[in-house]
Amino acid sequence: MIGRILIPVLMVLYAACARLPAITPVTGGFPPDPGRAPCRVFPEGEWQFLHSIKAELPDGGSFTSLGLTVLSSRNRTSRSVILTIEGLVVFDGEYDRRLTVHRALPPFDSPHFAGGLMDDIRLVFFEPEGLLAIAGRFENGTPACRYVELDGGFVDVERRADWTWAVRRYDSAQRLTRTVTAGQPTGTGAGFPATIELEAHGSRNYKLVMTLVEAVAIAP
Amino acid sequence: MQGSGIGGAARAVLLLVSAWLSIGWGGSWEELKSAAGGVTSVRAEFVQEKHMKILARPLISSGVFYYQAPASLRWEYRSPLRNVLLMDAERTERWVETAGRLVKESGVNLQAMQMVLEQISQWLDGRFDENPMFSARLDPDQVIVMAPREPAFAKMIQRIEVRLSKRPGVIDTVTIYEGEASFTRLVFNNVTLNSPIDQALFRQVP
Repeated sequence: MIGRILIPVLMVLYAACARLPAITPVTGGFPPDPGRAPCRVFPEGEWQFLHSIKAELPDGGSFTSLGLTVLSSRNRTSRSVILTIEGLVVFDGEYDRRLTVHRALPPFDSPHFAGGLMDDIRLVFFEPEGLLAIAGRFENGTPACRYVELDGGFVDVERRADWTWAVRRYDSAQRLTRTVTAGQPTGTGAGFPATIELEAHGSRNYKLVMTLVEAVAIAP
Repeated sequence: MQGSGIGGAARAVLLLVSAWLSIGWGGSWEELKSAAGGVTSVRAEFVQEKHMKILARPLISSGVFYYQAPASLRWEYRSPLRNVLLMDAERTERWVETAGRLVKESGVNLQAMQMVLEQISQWLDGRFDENPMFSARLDPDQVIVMAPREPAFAKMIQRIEVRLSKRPGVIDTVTIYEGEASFTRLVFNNVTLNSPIDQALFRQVP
């Protein structure tokens, strides 16, 4: 019942989103294509990822660290650790319905940083939590899904034909706040993207270039 | 996002490790100091294991380092992420592999390391018990245990344990504890002392 009411409301909201790129629904849904559902681009199961992370800052500076992410897609939980290249842990945070910071050394010790980091991690690794408002194609024919978040924002997931994908987050005013761009999969293993770029837009802009070092499946 | 304090702490540990590798062994601080005097250069390979409770398996990296007295260091990771830290009395640089080539980092303030470099001659003299950053205890089973003197530093590193080899001038492992469930172990092998080192290694990244 709620769904019957909510879906038309979401469709109206979608129609009102003039600044969001148009997505045309696919009549009858996408044809069966196991493993290539239109928006299932995120890791499934329990994984331990290690990325090198190059941060590009607004002043032109850059530095590299290591990012360790341990996640469960089923439980939607994640543990995120930032290490110096020499192996020192400078941030260790966990998200399991709420944020817990286990370790945070300056300048990684502000609540703003912890919350923002875990938001970015969820955007990169998890299917959006919001309601799926539409599944279809962009004007260029690329399969895409649009989710409406609880705060009124939107998340678009785009899966391209060359196995790359992108995620864009918009706030409730339809301003683009984050762009995630995943490169082509590694040639080995489970086929996770070799690189992922996350760009934060707005006044506090930054860019993270994540290069996959290893992905380890965690035994259940 | 990354400050000089953290970068400085990480590199301070590398310098300590470098200095430890060049000391000769004895059963007391005085014997360590006495034996440490003759070492002028060190080359060693290392394997670094990062252990954390949450890891399905430890993170492993490996590389090689060169040290030349009085204050030249090249600490090079070759796997899995190639990067090189170059230090001498005048400069500190880090180069990181990006898109297949080594690129010099520009956003990290490494000035704190210059202060650390000034102390290296003290460590090379084997004067661990006089180190302003760490208090040291020499255990009878050939283990040096160092603990930060400053509470702020102790938040980063709880203690460091250095296990000495039976061969004078060589250590087996260095274990850096951030907590009981999180530590980094460096295992050294193929250690060479007092062999000539091409000075270009401390100034250039091939």
